[in-house]
Amino acid sequence: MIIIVAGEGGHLTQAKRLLMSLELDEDVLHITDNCHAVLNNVTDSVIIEPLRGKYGVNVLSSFTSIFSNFITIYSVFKKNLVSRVVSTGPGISISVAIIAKLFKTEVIHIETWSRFKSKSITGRVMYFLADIFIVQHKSLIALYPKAKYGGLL
Amino acid sequence: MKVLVTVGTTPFKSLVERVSEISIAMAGSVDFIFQTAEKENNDKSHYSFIDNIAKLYKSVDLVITHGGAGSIYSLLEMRAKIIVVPNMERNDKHQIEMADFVATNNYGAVAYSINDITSSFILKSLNTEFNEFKKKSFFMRDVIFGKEKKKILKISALSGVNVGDVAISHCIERIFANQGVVSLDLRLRKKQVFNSVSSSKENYFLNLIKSNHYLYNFLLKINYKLSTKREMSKIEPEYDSLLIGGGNLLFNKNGIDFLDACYFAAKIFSKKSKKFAVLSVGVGPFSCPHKKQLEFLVSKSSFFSVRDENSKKLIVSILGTKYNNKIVILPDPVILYSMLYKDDTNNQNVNSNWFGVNAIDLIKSPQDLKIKQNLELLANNIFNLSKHLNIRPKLISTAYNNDPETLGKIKTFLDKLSGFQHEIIYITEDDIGKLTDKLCKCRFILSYRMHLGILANSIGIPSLTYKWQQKIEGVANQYIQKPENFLLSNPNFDVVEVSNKLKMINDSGCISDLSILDNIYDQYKNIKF
Repeated sequence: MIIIVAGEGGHLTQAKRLLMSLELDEDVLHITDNCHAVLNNVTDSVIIEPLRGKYGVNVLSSFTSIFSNFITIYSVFKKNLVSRVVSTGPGISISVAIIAKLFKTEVIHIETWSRFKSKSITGRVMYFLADIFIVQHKSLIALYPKAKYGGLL
Repeated sequence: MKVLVTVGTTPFKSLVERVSEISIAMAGSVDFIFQTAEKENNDKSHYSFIDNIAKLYKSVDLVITHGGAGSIYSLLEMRAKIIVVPNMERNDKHQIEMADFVATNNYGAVAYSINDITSSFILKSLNTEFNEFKKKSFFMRDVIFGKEKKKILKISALSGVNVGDVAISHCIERIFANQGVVSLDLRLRKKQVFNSVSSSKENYFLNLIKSNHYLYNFLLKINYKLSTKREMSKIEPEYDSLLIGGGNLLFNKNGIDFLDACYFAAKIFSKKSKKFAVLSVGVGPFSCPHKKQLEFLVSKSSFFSVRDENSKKLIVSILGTKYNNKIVILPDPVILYSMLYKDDTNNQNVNSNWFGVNAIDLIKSPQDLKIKQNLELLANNIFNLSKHLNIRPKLISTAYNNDPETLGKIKTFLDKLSGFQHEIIYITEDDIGKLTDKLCKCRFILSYRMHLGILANSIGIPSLTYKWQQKIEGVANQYIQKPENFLLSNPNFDVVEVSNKLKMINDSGCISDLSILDNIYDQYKNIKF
């Protein structure tokens, strides 16, 4: 089973484009923090707690949601044989990547397409967690030397 | 002229307000349509969500968009004329990077501040020709989803010296041709050279250890952990999945630790979240603990198959009926030999002038079989049979631990009886695929080795096999139409029994039904690793 982590908005659009007209033998599980975020060609989806709203961060609620997310994600990994985790850039992918590391599962991070000259917070962390770190703009190779350029989704 | 204002899912009040003001001034010459995050205005031209935004993008002359990457890339791909206004009301200010991207490449107009947007700015943008967006499309999907050619590591007993095991391996490779199957010995030992007649040296100390099964198996386990485990972990990253089989692998007896070797290899792959499948294996006998290993292999494998009913019964008796549905019976792949090697068929039965004899020394064998085997009597029977049928016997060896020695003994007896030298034919790995070369003009074969029987039957030489193990009968039932005709109950190739059965085979015609083979082949082809 492949896990694809994509939240809402641009991250979801990128996930949609990634999966478009792709035929996979494996099941695909979509992990998202938004119940309205729907990907078409996935087998199943799991909704976890968002880390922050677009208007601000509440430390206490962030902490509890991180904790409950870990439990949810852990149970996903325990139940299924996950072959790889693919993230298109949302913050929740960090929790998924940490659990994936525990299970020694391959993590692939595609840095979001809206960055050209700066690092996103998720990108900074995922650079160390991901086995393959893909950027969509060549200008980002300067910031992430080990990254691979993969073209624009 | 039509202008669309789009802000995506995050509110961008100042932009909407600003353009609303301008729209009043430009009313009549330009129509404005607003897509806003929340419904901010009850005006008909305001929408919070637009179903087919792509269609709308195409129908308008200009799009004033927030700095959201998704919107901008879609617009640029559609060659829409755009004014990018980075949303600085957001907590994160990354939309400015998107705006810079559009500005520096001159893909569209950019208003870094709300105040830059004026009616003249909009009109100027409408009349400007911008650069065409040339997209370098994403090309890493194959890397991400592992669509690159998969490599499967297949392990089975190959270092041994039994052509049967090698034949199994070759047949599996043929069945799964072009699927990236790489065959290695399950202990990663190098293949031994066939045809070398090994001399079994007696070693008192080794025999003493061997006589204690637990101690010997324990030492073998340590040996495995010290040597093979490290090597296996080293080659594991090269492969995507593991295939265990076929042949008799899930057993530990007489100091053979195949079960443990399979178990450890499966564990190494399983730890890395890679799948493993067990293919048409024989199970048992056991002289050491085995439940843990068997349970792991059955429960964690993506596909688990045994080669006959007896093997399944044995596993069920050990693990209970819990896994009854998971254990599939998949006949030995060598049964498909005639389908896999279509060129290798025997058409010269008419001019046949010899018959083959193959035997294992069961008295010396560590299998502890209570069989009244007598090599001298066996040689006598063969001599009488050859006189009766008026054709010569030739001895055939397909395994190289003790078989050449045993056949040598029989040869001595035969030479004495007949007064001339008999030939021993050595079948090796290289002969698989062109067995007819070595077995040319052979009328029939009397055999102990099961796979010699299967191979010979496959190429059209009737082969009578002595059923010294249950597996021989089990496998014969799977592919021979009248299996009782091809099985011998006398270990010394009794002349009466052999000639009776040969007569029955002659009367009954073909050996196996093609539809049975087709079924087995489909069974293999439908396996999903």
